[in-house]
Amino acid sequence: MEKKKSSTLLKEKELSAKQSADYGKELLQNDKQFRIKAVSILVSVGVVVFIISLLSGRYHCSKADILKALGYGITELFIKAAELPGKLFGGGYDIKNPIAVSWSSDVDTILWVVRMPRIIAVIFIGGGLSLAGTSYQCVFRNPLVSEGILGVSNGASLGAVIAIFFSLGPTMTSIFAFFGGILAVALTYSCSRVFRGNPTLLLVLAGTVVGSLLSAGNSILKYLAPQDTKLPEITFWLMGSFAGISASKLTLLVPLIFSCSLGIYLMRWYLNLMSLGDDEAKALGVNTARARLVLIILSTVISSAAVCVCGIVGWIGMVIPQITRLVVGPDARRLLPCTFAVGAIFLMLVDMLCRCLIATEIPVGIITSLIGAPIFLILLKRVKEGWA
Amino acid sequence: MAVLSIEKATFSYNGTDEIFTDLSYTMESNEVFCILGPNGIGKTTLLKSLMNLHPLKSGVIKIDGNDLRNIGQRQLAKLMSFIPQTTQFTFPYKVLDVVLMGRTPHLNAMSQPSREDYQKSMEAIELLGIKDLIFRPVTQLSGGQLQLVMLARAIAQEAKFLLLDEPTNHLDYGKQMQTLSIIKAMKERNVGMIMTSHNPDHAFLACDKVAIMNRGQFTSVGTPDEVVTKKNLKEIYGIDVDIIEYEGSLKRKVCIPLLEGHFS
Repeated sequence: MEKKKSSTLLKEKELSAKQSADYGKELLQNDKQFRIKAVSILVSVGVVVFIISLLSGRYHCSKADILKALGYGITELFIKAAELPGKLFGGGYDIKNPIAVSWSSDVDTILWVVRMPRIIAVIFIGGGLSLAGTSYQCVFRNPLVSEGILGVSNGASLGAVIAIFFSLGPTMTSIFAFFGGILAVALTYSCSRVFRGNPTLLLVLAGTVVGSLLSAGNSILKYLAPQDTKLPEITFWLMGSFAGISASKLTLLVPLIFSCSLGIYLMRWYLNLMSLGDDEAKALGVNTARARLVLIILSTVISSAAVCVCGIVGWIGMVIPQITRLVVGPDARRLLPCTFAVGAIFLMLVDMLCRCLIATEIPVGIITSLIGAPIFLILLKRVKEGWA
Repeated sequence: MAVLSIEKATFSYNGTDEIFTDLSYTMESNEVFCILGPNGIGKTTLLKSLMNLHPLKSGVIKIDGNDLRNIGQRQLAKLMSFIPQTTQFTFPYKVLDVVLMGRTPHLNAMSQPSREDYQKSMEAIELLGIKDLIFRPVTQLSGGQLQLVMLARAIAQEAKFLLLDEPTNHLDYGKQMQTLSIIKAMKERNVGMIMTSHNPDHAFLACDKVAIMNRGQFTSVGTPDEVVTKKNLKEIYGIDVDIIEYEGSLKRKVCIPLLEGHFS
């Protein structure tokens, strides 16, 4: 009799579930509204910050001229696109750019050679580091980790310091930094595979060990470096700077960070599951070993690419995912794109401060820490549930 | 109807000390199987072995004749779902998102939950009557609410078998009975269940078969009437228990622990 009762109860409930509205549609509609809102806010703020960023700097020139030059450049792009069919199929036609050139060539240089590449690099580095940080926080189930946890920054530093120590030139410094970071993480990963146990915990332990070994190597070289030539160079490199960015570096940096970010974004649903822990993710059908390896590789390439272009930029990878998570929630489907945008905007602002605050340029690592640390403390105090 | 068979399963964490040895049991997906046993005897380990989280030292576990180890993680998750004793959420996911995660084995690689997945998740949520919780962060739920969320996730997963590790743990009396009735209801949907419990009464309430796990073995396997006896309970829990037939409208046995004089 009891059995019968429970089964009829179930039937009733099942019936009401069948009759109920089309939830799938309703909830996806909900999601779409969120997306429209997020995109419109982030893109409009991003564009405003981007333009202000282009306008600001130590070189004195008329802001109107820069805006005009920018408008000219953008229209030129559209014109080129419009002329393309004509060029391809013959019977070419010329469209005249409606904006008349009224500014000196210095303005063009400042805009297109100095500021534009730098700001584009800043966007990709800020967004990429935040994204890498988010994926590490999910993989390691810890909101306090950042891309440095597996030793990528220490490895990249050591690579760069070796290159500077032996005077191999700036190009080699970047290459050494890039591969230094990747090798460090590879070393950490293989160390963690030697032992049995909780894989994420082992990775963190191995990362700490490898990181401290590498930083010891770093210190030795710093100690041995000539005090009045190499040591300052090393120190400045370690503090991070966007000053050395050129258009040629962009052609490497942007595709690398873009493709890896896209890779992480494609794995967004698995990122949610990884944050449940190894056993639970496996029980829900995730090949955790493979997912973890892929995520670590993608995040490491992003961080190494960022570090080799601009040195160590701390805090972004930890604080930006935190701040964004507090606003949009932990669901990686929403979090990943938002965190990229917030990271890019944040670093554009930081970069602006670096360039404009005092007469000489401030190393970016100093500003990110100066701004990041207090923001983090305020958030830690205000919202406790974010990492409950 | 799917068949789950455990054949001479042996497991060891370090290679020498065996947690359980040569366990065998076969069940179909319309049965509720309860494992009773003292603390620390390896019940959870067995469930994790069934989920291929702890690979066996020797022996095989088969579903419909296929060795678990050859099935592949995603395929396995379509056949078996698992609700652990406790779940720690690092991040405050919404209830709906957590239930949606149950749909993961049905998604193609790199794809996201679709409209159909949302629909199935919502049906599971409605079935358990937790519709008003869907936008609440799981980190703010009580133990009982969380248990219902996990059950909803398991229902959304649509697996043939469900492993429950002490599903009534930390629940109040009412929630315990609610969980047991959900278990019975899921049996009606042809889901086979293996649950561990510390309450022998639950075996009478909801289970078809019971095993007593002790010293690495199933020391006694059978229907609740055969297995939950004074002698067996004395052996595993070291206390005297009276078992009487309840003379009401429901024909059922009840365990009565006899506390008198136990410590004298």
